[in-house]
Amino acid sequence: MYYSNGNYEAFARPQKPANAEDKSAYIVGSGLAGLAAAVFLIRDGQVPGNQIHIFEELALPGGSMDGILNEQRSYIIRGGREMEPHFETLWDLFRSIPTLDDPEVSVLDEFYWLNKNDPSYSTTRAIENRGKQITTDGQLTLSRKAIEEIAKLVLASEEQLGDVKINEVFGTEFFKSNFWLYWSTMFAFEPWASAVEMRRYLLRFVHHVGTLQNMSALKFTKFNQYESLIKPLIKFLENKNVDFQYNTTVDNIIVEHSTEKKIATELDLTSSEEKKKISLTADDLIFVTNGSITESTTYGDNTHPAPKEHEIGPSWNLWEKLASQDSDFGHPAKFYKNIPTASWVISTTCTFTDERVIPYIKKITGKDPRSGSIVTSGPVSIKDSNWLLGISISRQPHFQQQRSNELIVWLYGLFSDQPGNYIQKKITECSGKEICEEFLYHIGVPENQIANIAQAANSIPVNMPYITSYFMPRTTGDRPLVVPAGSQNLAFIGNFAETPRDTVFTTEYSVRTAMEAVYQLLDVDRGVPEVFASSFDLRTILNSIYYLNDQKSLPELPLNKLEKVGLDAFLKKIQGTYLEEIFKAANLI
Amino acid sequence: MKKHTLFAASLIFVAGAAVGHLYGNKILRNRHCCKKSNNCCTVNSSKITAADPVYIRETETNGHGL
Repeated sequence: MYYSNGNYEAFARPQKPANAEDKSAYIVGSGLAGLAAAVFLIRDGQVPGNQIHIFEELALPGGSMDGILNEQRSYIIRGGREMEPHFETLWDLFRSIPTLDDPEVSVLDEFYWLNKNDPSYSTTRAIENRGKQITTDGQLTLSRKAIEEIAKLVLASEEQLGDVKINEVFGTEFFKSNFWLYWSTMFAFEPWASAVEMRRYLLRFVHHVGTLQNMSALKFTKFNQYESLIKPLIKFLENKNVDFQYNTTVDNIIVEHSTEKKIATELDLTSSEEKKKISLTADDLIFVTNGSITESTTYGDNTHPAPKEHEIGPSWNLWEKLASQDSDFGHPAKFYKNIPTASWVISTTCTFTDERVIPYIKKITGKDPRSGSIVTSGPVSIKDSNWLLGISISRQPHFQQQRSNELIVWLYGLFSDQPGNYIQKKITECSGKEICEEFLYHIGVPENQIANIAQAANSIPVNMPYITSYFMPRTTGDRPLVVPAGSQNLAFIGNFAETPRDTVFTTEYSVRTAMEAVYQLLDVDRGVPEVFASSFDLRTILNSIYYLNDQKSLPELPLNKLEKVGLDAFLKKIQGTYLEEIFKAANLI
Repeated sequence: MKKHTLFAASLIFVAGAAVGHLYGNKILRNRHCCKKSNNCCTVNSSKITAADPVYIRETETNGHGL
């Protein structure tokens, strides 16, 4: 496998790999990574669809990419995905997947046209004092010390950082900046999260520093991701006769070791309470989604909190069993054990039919949620919320079957250990109605109307005990490589497999690991699109310096006398050169 | 400007900035903009207090509660 970029490789079709028709594939987990692996096996590997088997512990596919109308409860989305144009493998996948409505239109086409016609743009990124925009909204408010800390983090290597946490590399000035408020709420970073992952995000998305304050770089699906992305994938794969086995748990995979080689030889599974064993040969390729951020989710309703009690799910148990066989298979405990109690676990889907909430949303976002356009463009953060509540309102309808009088608002609270500002309980102890009341309080609804509006709404809280596990501090080797050294037929896919440079908690990471797994195990001779290389682009780096300093040029920076002398000498030296051109293009001079 | 001269100029700027930074903090602190402007000094002039929002106060914990 090798990485590539550019159109030559992007538009090329690989030749059929040797013996592709003799291969079978067993995919554990039908999340985005598992489904993507199946598509790449068929499209790029030319493996017959009926020789691909997908095992799913639940009764439906999609993993974390959900969105469902639960008949007993209401609409439920556990999360929402923010996407961008340089999710290279994701778009490589969806260019080949037809939409449900029109076989001539790909999911990428639909997405591209939609976001051209209805681009993302946020006029309000943060509020406080019950619905008032923060006075410095739109500025990153980073001090010089904070910018130096960012630079220091970026310049450190992952090996140097190891298990270090974010709050061990940044000081108070950084945490008081709007940059941290925007950054942490947009990507769900807690202060005790991994500094390595923060560094990867800084480098991976350096081309978006200039849009952090307005979210204009983000792209969104037409409906929830289950309907817009997962359903078309399922239809494509079913049309290719891929075998889906639901309510099936893979309990263990036996891996035999010989000199420098590892071969998975047996798959142990439970299907509808019946134990089965599948014997494997080197021609049987195994793709394991190890770990899950949404497994063990519990559900509440308008009058009950989501239960805190949960079991450790099958994906973690399977990873533990694999890890016990080989140290190259990672250390799952680093991710799912000892997650701090203050971390984010609760999100809530509120369905309103009450018109009284509309003016408050309009006032904050400047947009009519009934217009059909993007409303919040990612989250609006409530700065003084004890739960650090975030509000996300997607294009409405967010579900195909959603009625015109229904408005869906998605809420999440990044801190679970504090009583709310209005509801004096921790978010984990709140019913859907109580979480809705806290939201209504923060957007400025008069207190005498709050209970009534929340009662009329239907709010479903979910407790996701592992939702922050991707960002747990970890070091090299804690995540297994996509294809561990010496593995002949076993690969790891999803956000707990290790691929260099890319950022976890993204749809792109799921698809990238799937593509790398298929291309390696099947020896597909085509380049995997590399992680977008903006961090190697001098123009992008210079431009980010301009935006990190809230759009100040170099002469406008608060430099001391000696620095000013140095800068003047530098600017004089580069006069009339190419360097001057690119510094000017980046607004630095 | 020749290529190697340009490279040297960049090195001089980086070195100059580093030296300036050092002197600015250690020798000239009382005379430069620290006294007059915000966001100027590299000293940690900010403290977290009970009046700060939770998300800022939580940066001083390891996630097991304030």
